[in-house]
Amino acid sequence: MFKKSISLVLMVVMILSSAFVFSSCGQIETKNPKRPKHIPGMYASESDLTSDEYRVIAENGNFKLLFNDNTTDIKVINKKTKYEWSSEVEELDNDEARRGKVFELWYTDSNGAENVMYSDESSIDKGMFEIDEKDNGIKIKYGVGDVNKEYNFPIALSKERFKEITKRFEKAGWDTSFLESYYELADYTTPESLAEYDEEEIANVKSKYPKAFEEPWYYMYPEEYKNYDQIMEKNSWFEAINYTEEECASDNEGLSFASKDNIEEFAIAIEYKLTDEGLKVTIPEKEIYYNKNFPVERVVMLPGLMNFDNKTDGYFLLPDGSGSIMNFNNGKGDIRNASTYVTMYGVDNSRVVNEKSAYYNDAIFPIFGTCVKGKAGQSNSTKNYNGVFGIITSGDTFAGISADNYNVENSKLNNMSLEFRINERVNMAAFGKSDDSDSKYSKQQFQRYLGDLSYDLYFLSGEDSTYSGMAKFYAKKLFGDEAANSDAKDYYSTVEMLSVINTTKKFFGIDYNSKETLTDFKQVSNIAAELKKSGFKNMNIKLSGWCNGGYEHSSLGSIDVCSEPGGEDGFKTLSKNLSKIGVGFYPDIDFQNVYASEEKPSSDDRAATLNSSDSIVSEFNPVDFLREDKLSKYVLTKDAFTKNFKDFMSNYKDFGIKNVSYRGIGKEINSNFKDDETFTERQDTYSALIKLVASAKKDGYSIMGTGGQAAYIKYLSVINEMPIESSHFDKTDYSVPFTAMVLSGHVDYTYQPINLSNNNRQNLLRIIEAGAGAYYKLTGTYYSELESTSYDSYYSTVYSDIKDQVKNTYEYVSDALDGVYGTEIVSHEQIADGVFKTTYKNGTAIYVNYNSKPYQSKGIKIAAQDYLKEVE
Amino acid sequence: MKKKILVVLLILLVSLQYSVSAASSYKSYVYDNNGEYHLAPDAFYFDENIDLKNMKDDKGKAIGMVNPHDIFASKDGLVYVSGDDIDDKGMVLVLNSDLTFNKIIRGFKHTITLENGKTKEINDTFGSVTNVFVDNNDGSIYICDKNGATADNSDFKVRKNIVKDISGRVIKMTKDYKTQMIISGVKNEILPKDFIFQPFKIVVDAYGRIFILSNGFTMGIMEFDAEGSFVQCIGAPAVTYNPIELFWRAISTDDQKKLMEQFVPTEYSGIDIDDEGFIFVTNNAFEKDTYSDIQGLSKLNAKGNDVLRTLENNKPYGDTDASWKTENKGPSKLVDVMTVKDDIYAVLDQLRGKIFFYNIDGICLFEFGTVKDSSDGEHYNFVEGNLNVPVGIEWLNDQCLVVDSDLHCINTYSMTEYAEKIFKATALHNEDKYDEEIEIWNEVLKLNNNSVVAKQNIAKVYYRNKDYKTAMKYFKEIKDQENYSKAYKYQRQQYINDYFTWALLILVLLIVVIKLFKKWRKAHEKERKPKKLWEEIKFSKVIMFRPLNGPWLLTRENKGSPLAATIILLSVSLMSLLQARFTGFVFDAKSEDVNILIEFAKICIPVLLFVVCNWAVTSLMNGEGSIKAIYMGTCYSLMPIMFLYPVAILLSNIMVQEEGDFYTVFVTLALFWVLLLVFLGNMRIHDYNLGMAVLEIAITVVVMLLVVFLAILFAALIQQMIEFVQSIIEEISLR
Repeated sequence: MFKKSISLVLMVVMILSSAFVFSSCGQIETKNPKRPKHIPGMYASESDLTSDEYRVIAENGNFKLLFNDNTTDIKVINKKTKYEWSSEVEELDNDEARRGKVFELWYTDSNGAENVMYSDESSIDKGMFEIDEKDNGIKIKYGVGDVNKEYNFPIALSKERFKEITKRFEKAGWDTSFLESYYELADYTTPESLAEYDEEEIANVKSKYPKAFEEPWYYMYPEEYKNYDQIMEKNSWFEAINYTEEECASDNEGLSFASKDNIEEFAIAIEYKLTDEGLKVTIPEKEIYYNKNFPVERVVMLPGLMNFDNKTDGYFLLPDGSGSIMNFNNGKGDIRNASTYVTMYGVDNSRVVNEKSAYYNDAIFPIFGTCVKGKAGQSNSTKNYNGVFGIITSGDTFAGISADNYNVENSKLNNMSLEFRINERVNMAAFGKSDDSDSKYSKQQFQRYLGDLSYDLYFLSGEDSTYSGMAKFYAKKLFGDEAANSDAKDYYSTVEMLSVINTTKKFFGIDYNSKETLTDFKQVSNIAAELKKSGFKNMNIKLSGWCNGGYEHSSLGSIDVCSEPGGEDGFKTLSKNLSKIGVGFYPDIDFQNVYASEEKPSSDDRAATLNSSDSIVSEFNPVDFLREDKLSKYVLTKDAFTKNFKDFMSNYKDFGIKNVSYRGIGKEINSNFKDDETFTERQDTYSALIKLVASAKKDGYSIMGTGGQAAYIKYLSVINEMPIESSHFDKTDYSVPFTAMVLSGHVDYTYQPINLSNNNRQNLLRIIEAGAGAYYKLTGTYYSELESTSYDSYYSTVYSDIKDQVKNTYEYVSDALDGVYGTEIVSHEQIADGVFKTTYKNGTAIYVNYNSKPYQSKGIKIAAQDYLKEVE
Repeated sequence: MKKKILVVLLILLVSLQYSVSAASSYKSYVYDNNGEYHLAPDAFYFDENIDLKNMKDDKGKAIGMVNPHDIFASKDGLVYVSGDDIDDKGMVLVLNSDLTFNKIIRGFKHTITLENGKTKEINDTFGSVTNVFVDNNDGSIYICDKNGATADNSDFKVRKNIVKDISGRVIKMTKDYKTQMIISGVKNEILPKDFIFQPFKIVVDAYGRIFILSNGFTMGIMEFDAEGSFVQCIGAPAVTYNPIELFWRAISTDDQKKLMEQFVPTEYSGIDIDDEGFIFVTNNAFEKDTYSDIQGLSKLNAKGNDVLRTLENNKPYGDTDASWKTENKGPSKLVDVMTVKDDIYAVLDQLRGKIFFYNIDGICLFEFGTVKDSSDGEHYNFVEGNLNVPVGIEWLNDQCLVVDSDLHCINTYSMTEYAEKIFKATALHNEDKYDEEIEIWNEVLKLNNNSVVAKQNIAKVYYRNKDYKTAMKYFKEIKDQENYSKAYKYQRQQYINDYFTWALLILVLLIVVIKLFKKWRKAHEKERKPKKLWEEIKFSKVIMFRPLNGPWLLTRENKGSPLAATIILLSVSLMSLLQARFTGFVFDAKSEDVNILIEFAKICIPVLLFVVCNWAVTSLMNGEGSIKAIYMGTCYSLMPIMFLYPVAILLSNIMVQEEGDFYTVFVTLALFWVLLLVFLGNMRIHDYNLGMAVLEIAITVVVMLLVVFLAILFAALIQQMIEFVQSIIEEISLR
């Protein structure tokens, strides 16, 4: 009995200790950078932040790039308009611009608190930069923070040297008592003195001060003086007695004391290259360095470039949703303090997101723009306009754009800046503390982003610098020479039908999973035929919930068509029937995730969040905004989703259908923050997904996607739920269909399902304004228990109920866009508050009036909440 | 030149109001009658934002209201916004019905009596203006100046003579803004000695009675007569204690009780009055542990009695069940209420920026609104129409206006088609136009298949039209037991009328068949061999009807066996499960959620616990029964359940709610019978006399409680242990 209990205790101890051992030893080396050999230190260069001297670094037919050797500021001069784009930060109520503020490094300290290093204060002012001129450009390397924090005073002194130094201080007129308080006579030479210390301490001293074991020496313990200022102060003391570097080197010879772990030391480099169209800005990843205890989270770039005082007139183009316009000085600067922030491609599901309280469209294009109309009160001709348009070319998946408006109280100017979040952090409650308490510790992502951060700035002028011009410019960048459709097409529509869903039923209180067929394959074919007959000319059917357990399907190793709605035969018949009546058929699957209700993938295949739990995409509860268990799905690792995709496509071939719809493509990019070699950055996931979609396109598939992030556009033939309105952030002025202007004439796109958007007249107007196709989500059968399933959002989808509504809304929008659908939008403008005009290539203009009052001006009369078509 | 300025002004005025048409940034939902939420179409969309700080007055100067407190729309179409500027000076901003600038009131004139007896007219300013009310009869304006006496201005000394305390006042003005009356320095013997009058909300009824909420005052609403003298306090929020709290109060000292009172939530937060003179008040003070005792909303009649109609599982207090885990945690914090029309009212949740609409029955019609979003954990994103610290709501021209004190703005929200239809149908219902009503409700149902209110009203129309079957179908879908029962009552009548003869015939036939069967069995009895187990089970009949002799025979003469006892125990458990599952909808709406394990545990665990404890107790008290005997005795005593529950189940399926007593009688009878059998059986098994048996049973019960207590303690400890290990593992693996 006694033996048993001892062995039990031993076992527990072993398990616990092995847990400790594994947690400390089993760590895999991250790829975070090692300290470079050389970081520009203090006074590496001349610096004078008041200097106004610029010199030309590069020049071409269109632009001139100027550089300030003292402040590292740049200026780009547009030769045509003579407009000057400068990185100097203008400040409110301050005639002197703030020079040298070219970047900000935001990092966390050991307490998890966020700090910032501004380039002017922490680097340039101290001359910590080096310049390297290149063809058509320049590269500047910066050291930031406490670089080269060097001890210019002795750490150790022999008895004789100590006396010598004391005398020198006496000579210089100092009271030398301070020396005795800083230097301690350490004696480790005799066995008696050694007996006073324990072994650990002796070992520690031996490693750091080996001399101490030869004879008694005076030491000061530099670990106690980590603070930069403290060290600088001591350096200055010793300067008073002309203590030289050579002396320092010989005194400190053989000592190894410095622990660099706690030094706030950073390095970064920025490269500018002038091109015919503008400026290429690159931050080479390899040259970003930070101490592992002070990880850099965000890099804010050129905050001065798009910074304007209240006397300037113009606007910012933000990429939120479809794009929005924030006018300078719009009076909204003081609604609240925080600036507007646009996260590129929405929030990564693998970040620890517990709460979501508002829903808005995510940014899908990695762009931003500024249009400067000139000084307020000047003539408002577009000729005088100047613009800068930015495209983020690398590191876009974790870029963010922040913008704010002029406000005296917060001393803010109109400003917009770009930042890259190169490290993600999660705050967690410390052991034994509740979630409420403040004692939290933070965890950084295992490995940081390993590609360059770069973006292109294009300097535009005249008509081109309006947002319409920018849209045209971006379309050219996206599609190259591929010409837009010039002839109008039949009005397009996607009709999504939901077939099999998961329900939970109860048998004497025991839950069991069950299936419910909301639309069987025959109904799909009948509804399609009926819609076709009633005028849906150019229509695609998207069928979701057709295989491997329905909408919430399992992994796609094999394709098992659901038997309830008709089985494989029914599915094939449906495909045939639809092609007979000329309707595109897009079966829909989600290969990035596996639904939790059907299958739990093996732990190797599941991606992880920052706090090491499974990464799960799910809905949020509208009541308390918390995550809930609804439609939750496991995010797969890169290898797993690649395999899932390939398995699916190889089996899907056999159906002979050349269309396919990928559920999350264009909308969801999720990292895998697992602390091992499967770690995948968001950017890597993105490029892996693009590769897969491209391969399907290459195999001849026509692909339907959701959302429509920029890099997929080339491969998608239809984009559903594409944002055609902005996120409507409160500091912006109005939404513009920038995305639609770029894609019009190239791709079919639709917005949210019309029948689920409350049949609001304004939603229809939105579709008309953006020239989008129609999108409906329908089901065939009324299911009275639907509200208690995860599909309670399908509150108005039963076709037989809403038949008329579907037809009426379709007619309304298709009539409006008749003759222009599928052609290029050439311009879009705000005529008045709530009244917009969209002009198509053939000259047809469509006005929409969102207001509840009619609009009348200059011969145009638009009824309240209606549109007006002006055919040329 | 003048023209130019005007143009500039116009542009400025326009530019500070922005209107958009956004897809809403919130997910709308409704609560069903069980208090569960379901997604629903949007009822309102954000329309317009009016910045109260930067709005320009007629001279082109910014108004500068940075801290609005409330909003009031009068019947004549003017909107009054009360609030403070950046120096904490109060003001009343009067807007036209299209929310354009009309007038601003920053102070008032009144006459005071100086110390030397002389009177003097002074220009006074406000302290903090918290609310405005306009009397519909004569258009007089009541302004709540919460702490007017502390306002810092030149007349401070003068004012100090009038009111010595740091207190506020209510100013009544005529239509043309002439001071008519001031209520201040309220003193009365029924008010606490240290009472300070700080009015922050006010309503006036059709008879000129003034109802005021005073800051920090916990005795309800202060009622004043038309002359401004204090009459009484009405409608003090009732505080109910749960039994545990009452127990603690009973054994606490006076000092402890005083401390407890601090947690008593009794202060009203918002008030409104409807056309019929009912006063709606909201109550937002709640603590995490005491919330269940709070009544978030009350509707008071003239006597101060609460006449609010509520549903059992879905109270009209916003989100009553929300989690405490989030940043915006806990149940709704109701700060304002408005009466809309057709007996529809709405409450404002400050915590999560939501507005909930209810109809007269307390059914949730719809909900909208949300707060800022920080879903990336780093930034706060405000979408147009999101609220931060909403303080007041008002209904104007079929729009909902919400004032936000942090964003210093008024947001207006307009109805979507969905909400319009619900309003229209409700109005038709009030006009008794049922045929038109049902049409609209059907349209609502098309827009939202989940709509509880549509289904209920459709059912009610069917009920009225005597189509009880359809009505029952809808009532059942929305789990409305009361109305279902009503419809069923008539439906049953129809059934009886239709099938009575047939039922009688079948009954007669059945009796004949049973008689014949018995005869047949008697004839063949000799051939059958008595089966031992069956005989043992059958012995329970003896126990049931001869509770003194039975147990004796059972244990001393081996008439029963443990196996038979176990079979009885399991079948009784099964019967209890069937009872839970098949009780009629009228009596139990959640019978589908019955859990098989819990139902079995409900019977088996008490029985086994009793057996073990009883054995432990009686073996110390010279009881004669073995554990086997006790087990058998107890199980056999459960038999009445087998006979009475089937009857109860049957009754529950054919009875309506009014006849529920019969049903309860059967269930109670079964329980009583069982307890009696257990007691008598126990007495006989151990061969105790009556007094001894009572004592022994009492001790057994105490022991049982002790065991349960220890089990709970043990479970709690284990749970803590597990949590401890979990957090260690988490921390080790993440560090």
